[in-house]
Amino acid sequence: MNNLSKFLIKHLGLFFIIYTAILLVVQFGGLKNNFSELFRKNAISLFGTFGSGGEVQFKKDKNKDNVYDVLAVLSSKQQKQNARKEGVKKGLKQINIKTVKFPINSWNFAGMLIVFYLVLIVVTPMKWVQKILPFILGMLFIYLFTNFKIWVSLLLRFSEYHERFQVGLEYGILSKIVNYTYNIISFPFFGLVMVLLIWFLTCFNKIKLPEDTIELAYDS
Amino acid sequence: MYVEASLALTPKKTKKMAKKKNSNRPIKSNSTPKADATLSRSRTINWQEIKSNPINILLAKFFGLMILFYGLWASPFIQVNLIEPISCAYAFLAGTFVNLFGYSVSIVRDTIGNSDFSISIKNGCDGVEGLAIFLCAILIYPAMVGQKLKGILLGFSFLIMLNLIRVISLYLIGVHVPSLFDVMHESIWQVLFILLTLVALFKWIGWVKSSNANE
Repeated sequence: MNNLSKFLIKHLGLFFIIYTAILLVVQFGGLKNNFSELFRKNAISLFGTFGSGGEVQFKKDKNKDNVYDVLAVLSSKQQKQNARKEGVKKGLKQINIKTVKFPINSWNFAGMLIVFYLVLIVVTPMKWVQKILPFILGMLFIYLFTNFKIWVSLLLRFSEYHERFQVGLEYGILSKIVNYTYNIISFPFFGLVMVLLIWFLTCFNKIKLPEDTIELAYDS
Repeated sequence: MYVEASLALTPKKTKKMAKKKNSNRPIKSNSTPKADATLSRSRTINWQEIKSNPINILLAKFFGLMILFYGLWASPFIQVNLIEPISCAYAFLAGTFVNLFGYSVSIVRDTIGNSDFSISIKNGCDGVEGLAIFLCAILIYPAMVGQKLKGILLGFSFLIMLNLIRVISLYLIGVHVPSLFDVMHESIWQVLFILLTLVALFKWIGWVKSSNANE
């Protein structure tokens, strides 16, 4: 076994020890619930009102049989106004509106990416001082990426029910682009690939290999 | 009228401003022409350095290829004609394998299972993204065609086998330890797959370097 193989096995092993330890803490130490709560609060503060008149509630998904922990409930001011008008016309005292709900797995959306990147940075063989900037940049990227994902998901749902909510995009090229984008970014693996690319960008050329190991980077 | 007036005034104003600018220049500027030249050259050099850094070039190409991959991957044509058959093939291979050990599962398109437990191989579980990372990296890395072909052949075989093991192990976990299925599916196998793709890539780069050095 050459030095490169030893090096790779050592760091892969280290990654999985730390990653599994964090997973155990997240799963059984209650961190997953705390993260879910944080995710909900962030989503409410950023997307509680959406576009021109859209309203979104992010509730706890209490169904314990599924993997989802957050439930986004969509409605709109226009929808409520129209319902009120119709109710008054019909002489009703109360009228129900149809909301649209979609579940979110906050762990898949963001949590896993954060832990993955965090451990990747920790096990990357470079000086601790050099790890600070990649860590900050990566976390910033994950935060922006997660919110972009939420925004695209909401825009797509509002657009699907544009007639009901009068929010979002009407059917056309833009709504198709949003749909296409959603099809790509909605898969958790895409998030991992993005995180890996950020790691490549911020850490790849700073990796210090053992002296007698061949250089990984391309020699100019 | 207003337009004509403004058009007539503009050149005069510009000339005046230009004169003012020129007259102020030597007094306002603290730098000598030599320092200015050095400053502009250092700016150019930095930009040139970034552009000519081989790692940055590699990363830019890699990003470009990955964007192209995802653009194609999400298209309905590729999904129907490439991704679905790949998922069905994995289901067939995994189902056949577990049947050898007496699990008696049925295989229907991309789904394997029986009345107790079943799994479907959907997007993200087919390992195509891992293959794409590997392929894109090999394509942009400077190596001989033969080395690239060998890398693709061995790397793809490894990653396909790895994904088959993933599918089979997830089915077995679902049958025997269902409480672990979600964690293994979401948090362990996805991360393991992407990291082993990276390891395979580094191994190939190492092999290319050492075989070039031997020649």
